Amino acid sequence: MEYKKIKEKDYTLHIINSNRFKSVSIVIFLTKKFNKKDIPYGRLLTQNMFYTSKKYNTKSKVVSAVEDLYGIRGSGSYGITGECESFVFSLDLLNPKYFDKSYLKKVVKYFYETLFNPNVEDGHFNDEYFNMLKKEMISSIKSLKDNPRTYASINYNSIMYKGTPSEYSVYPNIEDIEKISSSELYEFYKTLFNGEYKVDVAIHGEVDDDFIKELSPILKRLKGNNNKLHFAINHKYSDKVINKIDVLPFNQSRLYIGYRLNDLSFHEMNHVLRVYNTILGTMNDSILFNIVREENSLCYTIGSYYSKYNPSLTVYAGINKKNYEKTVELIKKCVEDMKDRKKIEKLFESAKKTINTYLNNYYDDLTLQVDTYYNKEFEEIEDVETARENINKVTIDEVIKLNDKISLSTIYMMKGDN
Amino acid sequence: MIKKTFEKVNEDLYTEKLKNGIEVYLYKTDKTKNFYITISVKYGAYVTKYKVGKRVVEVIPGSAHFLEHKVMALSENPEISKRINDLGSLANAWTSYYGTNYNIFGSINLIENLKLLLDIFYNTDINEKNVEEEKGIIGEEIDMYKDKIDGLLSEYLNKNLFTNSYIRNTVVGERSDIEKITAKSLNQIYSDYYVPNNTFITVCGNFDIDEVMDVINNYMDKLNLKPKTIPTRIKDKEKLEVNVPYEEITKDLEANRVKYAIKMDKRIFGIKDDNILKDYLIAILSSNFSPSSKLYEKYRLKELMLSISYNVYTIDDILIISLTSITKNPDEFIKNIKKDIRKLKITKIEFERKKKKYIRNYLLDFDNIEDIEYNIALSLMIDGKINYHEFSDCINAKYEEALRVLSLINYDNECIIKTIK
Repeated sequence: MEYKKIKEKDYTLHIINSNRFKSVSIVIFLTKKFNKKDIPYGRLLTQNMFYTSKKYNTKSKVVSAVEDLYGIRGSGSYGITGECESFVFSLDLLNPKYFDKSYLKKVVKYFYETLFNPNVEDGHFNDEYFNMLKKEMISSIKSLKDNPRTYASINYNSIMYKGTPSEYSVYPNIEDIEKISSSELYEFYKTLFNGEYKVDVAIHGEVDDDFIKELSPILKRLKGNNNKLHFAINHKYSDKVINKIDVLPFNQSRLYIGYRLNDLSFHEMNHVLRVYNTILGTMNDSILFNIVREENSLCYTIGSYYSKYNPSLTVYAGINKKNYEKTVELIKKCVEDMKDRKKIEKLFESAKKTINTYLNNYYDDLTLQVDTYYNKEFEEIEDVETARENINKVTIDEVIKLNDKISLSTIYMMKGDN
Repeated sequence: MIKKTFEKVNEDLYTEKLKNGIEVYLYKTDKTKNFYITISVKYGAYVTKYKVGKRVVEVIPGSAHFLEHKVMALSENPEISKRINDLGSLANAWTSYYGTNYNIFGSINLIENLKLLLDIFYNTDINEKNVEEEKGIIGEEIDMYKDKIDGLLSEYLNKNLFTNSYIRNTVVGERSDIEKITAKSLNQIYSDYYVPNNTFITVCGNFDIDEVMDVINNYMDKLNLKPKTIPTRIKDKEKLEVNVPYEEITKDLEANRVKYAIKMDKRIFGIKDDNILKDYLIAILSSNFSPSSKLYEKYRLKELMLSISYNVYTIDDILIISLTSITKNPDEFIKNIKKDIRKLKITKIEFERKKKKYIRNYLLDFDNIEDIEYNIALSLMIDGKINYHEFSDCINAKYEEALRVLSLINYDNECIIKTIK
């Protein structure tokens, strides 16, 4: 795998040359500082752009074109990452070497059409599709309650990260989305390529100069800025622990316990925390798995994850509502156990080996490789082998000491009331 | 060892059947630093009753899955658990209707991991105490699946489509089922089905083929297992008629769900290979219900649905075509789909397009060792063999045959599930 970064006036090109996969990915990232007013436009815009276009003005025509090109996969998404928001437009195609030269030309034409020729008439998105997609989005927002895992996670984030961009999900308020007209959406669309965003283009696969040349019609239309942006959120949270329970008609209850991570250094955040989290909640024999699931039979799912951009550690579990108090106490005890040298010693070396296995996934995961080079634009990231080296240097003392910088913040349960 | 090659992608699979009947499948590749090792049994939730010699055994629903939990019981075997952790590997397992799979994913010392997996599989300790303890965990797993609305409605649909079949039970069973499971019942199944000639091992990664075969052969020599008679599964006699043609399920959902299905005898199509039959039917359904179809466009614009998906599956001699829709107008959707399902069609251009999409998926399936293993395991569990010529089957698929299949679909046996508030 070879990586090349080319900084142009309007965009940064990341070329990741690799023959590991039989596909090629082209990903365009548009990034700017988060503005909550953009949330109602985000998903609605990407859905309108990828549903139809000027040339392919029905869904049927779009999908037929895609299938004709051996099922290329185009997608658009809107996301919130730390202090930033982004639009990501991507296209996955089979390696053009399997086909004649016209294949790549046709693929680029399709992507160009999707990005730059939306289905717009008289200054607004086609009303028939716009109204349909808007109604469907409102319905999908209301339907979030039908999915307990997603709904509980959104509610937990809104409490745990209140006052920061992480408080919001990409699903807007219904009142906000109802106000948007097809012409307002088009006005918003016009800001995408007019210099308001930092633009990064990542190309992953077996690509050469000719491939890049074929992409030039798209690259020429990109207009971006070179603003320096960061994902990391600096926010002073209250020390008060928040307890909240919502009730919904499900069989299982979803429990989230959030801890703040206070003033972690780069080494603590990127190496020590990774070992800590593996021991606590991700490895085969993790403390949470052994104590809450295996010794007390309180759950099937339990684990932990951390957020670097809004420094926090979260423990989650699917439990029976009658076991709420017992599970909360046991989880707190598990986190306390992270100070117990004997327990850490038992799992420490294995945790590092487990992380080494996870790190190898980097080489098998195209999306992870693309995201890593993109993320490097907004935060300090080590390459995978440097990270491995530094994680392997983490000591037991450092893991135990991390407890001094962890404080309980939120206990949230979505209680299943069936 | 026999070397077989998957067409077009030129990917090789080495296979050998040991003298005790275990089959070994080795996929060697240098494209990854990790490895994926599995051992699978061709025993899953589709066995509801079986016969060995003169003995007939009734299986409690959820037993195959419960057994998986007890075989992969790492917390009860600290020594094995420690060895896995010391290697930084990840052990897991899954159960389907047709088989049970135990796996280790790792990057350090493939040989040691292979031995560990064999140790897990062949050193079970299933006793009353640990079976009782497991019931709480599996109970939570069952509740978790019950909260997944689409899975829950599939359960309802299968209960209503079928009168006797195994598919009426879920793989995990109900809480009331698992209460009846005992150490004795699980040990019985282990002894009857977990026999070498009903088992296969798959190794995917970068390794020395001879070394891996030596390890497996030595391990098996020490175990000295002999092939045994594989129990005969006693099939449930299933009627062609739908059990319950229509049911409304009360659920507090924002958007309702409709499941519409038709049940027919798969033998009417005269195609022996279920996979080929399913591929033709999927191409037909895709042409009529995927976003490329006129019907999809019409239904969405008329607000008859938010989404639609389709599925084709066979249960013994029965074939099911099912459609699932999320809709705010379930009655209108049902009224329309009952008419439109009888107007299915496919053009030659559409048929050729579906083939292109299929080719893409086939090529990309070889990018990931877990996908490769999964496809091997499913083929062996369901079909009992691996098809190395899938690519030719696709290229050679004939439009005229698709039309013939289309003409034989029987729409009379309908089954509908609808959610209401």
